[in-house]
Amino acid sequence: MPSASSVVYYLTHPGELRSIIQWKTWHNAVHERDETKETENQKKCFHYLNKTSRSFAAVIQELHPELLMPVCLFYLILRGLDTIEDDTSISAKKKEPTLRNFYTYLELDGWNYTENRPEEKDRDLLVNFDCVVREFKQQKQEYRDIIADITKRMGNGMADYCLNAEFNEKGVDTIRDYDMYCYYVAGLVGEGLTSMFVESKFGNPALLDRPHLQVSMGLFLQKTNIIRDIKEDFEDNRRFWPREIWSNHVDNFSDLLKPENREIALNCSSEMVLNALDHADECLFYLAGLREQSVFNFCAIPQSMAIATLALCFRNPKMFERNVKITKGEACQLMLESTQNLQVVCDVFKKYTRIIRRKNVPQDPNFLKISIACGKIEQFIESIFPSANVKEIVAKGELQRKLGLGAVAPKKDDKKDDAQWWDSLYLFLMVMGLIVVVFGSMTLTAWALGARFDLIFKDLMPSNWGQLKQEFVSHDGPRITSSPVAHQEL
Amino acid sequence: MASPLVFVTGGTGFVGSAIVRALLGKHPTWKLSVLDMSIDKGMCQERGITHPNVEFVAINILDIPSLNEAFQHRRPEAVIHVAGFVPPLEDRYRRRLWKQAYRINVDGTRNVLDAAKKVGVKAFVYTSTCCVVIDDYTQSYANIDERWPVVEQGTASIYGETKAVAESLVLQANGSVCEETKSTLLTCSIRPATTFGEGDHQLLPSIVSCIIDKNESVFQVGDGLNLWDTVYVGNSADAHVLALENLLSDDPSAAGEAFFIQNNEPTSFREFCLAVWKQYNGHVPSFTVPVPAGLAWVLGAVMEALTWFTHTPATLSRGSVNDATAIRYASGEKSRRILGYEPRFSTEEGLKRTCTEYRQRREKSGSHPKSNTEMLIQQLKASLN
Repeated sequence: MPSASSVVYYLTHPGELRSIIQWKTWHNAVHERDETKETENQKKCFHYLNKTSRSFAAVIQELHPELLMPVCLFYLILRGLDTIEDDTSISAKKKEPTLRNFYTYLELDGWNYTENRPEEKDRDLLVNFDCVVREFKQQKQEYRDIIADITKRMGNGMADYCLNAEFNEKGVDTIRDYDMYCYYVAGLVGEGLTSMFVESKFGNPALLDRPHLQVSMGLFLQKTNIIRDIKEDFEDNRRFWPREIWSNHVDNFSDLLKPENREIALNCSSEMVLNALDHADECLFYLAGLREQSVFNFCAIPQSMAIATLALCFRNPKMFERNVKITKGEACQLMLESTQNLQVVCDVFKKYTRIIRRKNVPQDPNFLKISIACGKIEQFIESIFPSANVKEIVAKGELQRKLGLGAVAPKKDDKKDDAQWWDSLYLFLMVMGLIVVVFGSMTLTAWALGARFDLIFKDLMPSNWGQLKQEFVSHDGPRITSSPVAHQEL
Repeated sequence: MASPLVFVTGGTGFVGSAIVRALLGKHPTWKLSVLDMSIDKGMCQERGITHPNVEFVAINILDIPSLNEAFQHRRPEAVIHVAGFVPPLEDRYRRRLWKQAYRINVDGTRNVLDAAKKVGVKAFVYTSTCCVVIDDYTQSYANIDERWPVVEQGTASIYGETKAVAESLVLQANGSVCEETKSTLLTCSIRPATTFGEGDHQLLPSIVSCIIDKNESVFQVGDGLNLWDTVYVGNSADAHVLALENLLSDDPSAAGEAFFIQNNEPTSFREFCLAVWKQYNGHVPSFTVPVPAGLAWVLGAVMEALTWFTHTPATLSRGSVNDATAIRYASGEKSRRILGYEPRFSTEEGLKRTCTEYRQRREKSGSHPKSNTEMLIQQLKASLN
């Protein structure tokens, strides 16, 4: 049963309700899992996928059959690794080798892990990890190599962070460190997935030549989560906002969460958003390299959610009080728009960068930088999907350069001129009409309120002109017309 | 390349002096001749263009005999032709000053070009403007590039139209051979976006006056999101120098080409104004009154009608409303690829420098520094009568 508050919400936001209904009724998965052909063990893997992931389970299960199982396993393996890393009850001494060797366990029949504390939410997955190992061994060697390689590198990265006392005590220091951390926890995933997409021929091999694109995909998602989860992470004593950014605004990280510092904290969070926006255009560029619809959806949905989440968090004081997230209606709308094509996703990005620009305030120290970052995203989108008919315009330009100025002068069209003349006349008449109505009603009101027009007319008689003229001259200095808009010129 | 002699017309002005500074900075051994209508020693000093290698020549580009004499006498290898007529804001979309604009921008450019051809100048860089393309206000110009056509006569502003004719003269002259020296003339055109910087008499003053002389910063015309380009004068100057170097090099890939030059950081006009006000004196509007573009346009039309009756220029017009609400920004791809142009100063850095200088200028000269254009118009009226 939906709660009373959600009923009220959707009654007042019918557009979002419509999106939910549309998504539920019309969404057809590009590919659907065929459970009849699945083994018991595969079903077990999907069971854990659904149990451990809220957002990824659905998109993974709609992937092309070629990638369905490998990506599902990739997810479960990294989730397992993450569950060990997250568990603060395991000592660093014990944790470190487990993280480093995790990739070797993928080849160990029947391997599982039972040392997580009971309250660790994905503990079950590791306890029954043997089903993942069994399935992993059934996969094509190419996919296994990719998964093992990423698991190894991520495990080593996590182990390094686990031993890094300074990191654990003080959190992330520089922006470089921040990018590095995000690379280990998210950028690497992007790398693995990209290799799998290219391997399956669903991704343009050129993606491998531009590794910064796939890194941006991961970093954009990770940074958005880090921004959104500030409150939750702080309560768990984790600090991912880099000192290089927060120290521009407060002396101690914990000051960010104090209610009296809300304005300062907002400025800090917008600097964090600015940092994340840097990756947005590369994410769109990456999406252009995907050749299969289900793979596109798989990648595009989280990106759209991320830009919407950034817009939601931008200058939103609530993020320091509680967990903010986009509404279900908005999420359905985003999923509808992320499962079509790149142009629609670009429109989503454009829409949310404009929301960010509207919320941007000049009091913010990064005001101009933020609007420029948003402008750059919009310009990038315009460069891949021009709003003008470029072909026609370029042809006109070429003709002009060939034949000289005057070649593409608008031909004098008498009919059009005529129409324009009538347009102007209508406009003029309308304005005059409006003035008559306004003037008339004002006069009428004045009359109704007791204005003495007879006296005014008397004043205006020629016998009084001399006096009037004097008054006019003495009261009115030279008039200066002013304007709210200044404007451009070389 | 030995030290060439470079002519810079309009070299004491806002953009011209920045180009002279950039040339001096990058090529301290080059000899420069700064040609301008009148030479104000104090201003040259102030603008940092007084230098042993710089010679100042007072010359009007409409005075053909003196112009030819200057070229024959000195025989420069290269010319940067900056001198031009920029109508004051209130006349931007009116046709009142068409004759002046045409005389200086078209005839003046033809005169300089002819004089250059006669003495075998090798490289000719023309300071054009983005207005040669974007001033037709019935159109939208999102991320345009150099393939776009320029405006035709009678469809845009007098500035854009006359500069477009002049630009086509310059680009057509590319490749012409001097009869006397047999050297080939190479030309190209730089189209800077709306320019701001030290010595700016138009953009910054008019934006700042919204918070100092009037209280207009609360009004936002349109949605305030329409992207638009600006360029810091130092970046524009860099592009001119790069273009000149390109034309003088062994691989003159810029010859016959036009280039849009901007900070490559499009923002909306509204955002730019907010940034200027904040930078100038920390002013932040306490609230915002959005004026729908359509309403502003009607108000502009009414103001124009009043102007017609009263003969007093109004700054609010359909044209100025359009300038605030139009989408006008260009791609920096071609200038990056061919000239190797990357903006050295960000918009923010440029604004910092510009506002500091303008604040000092206002303090020094009282509240209303006299603009170049006002002086120019006075001189013009005298010379055209």
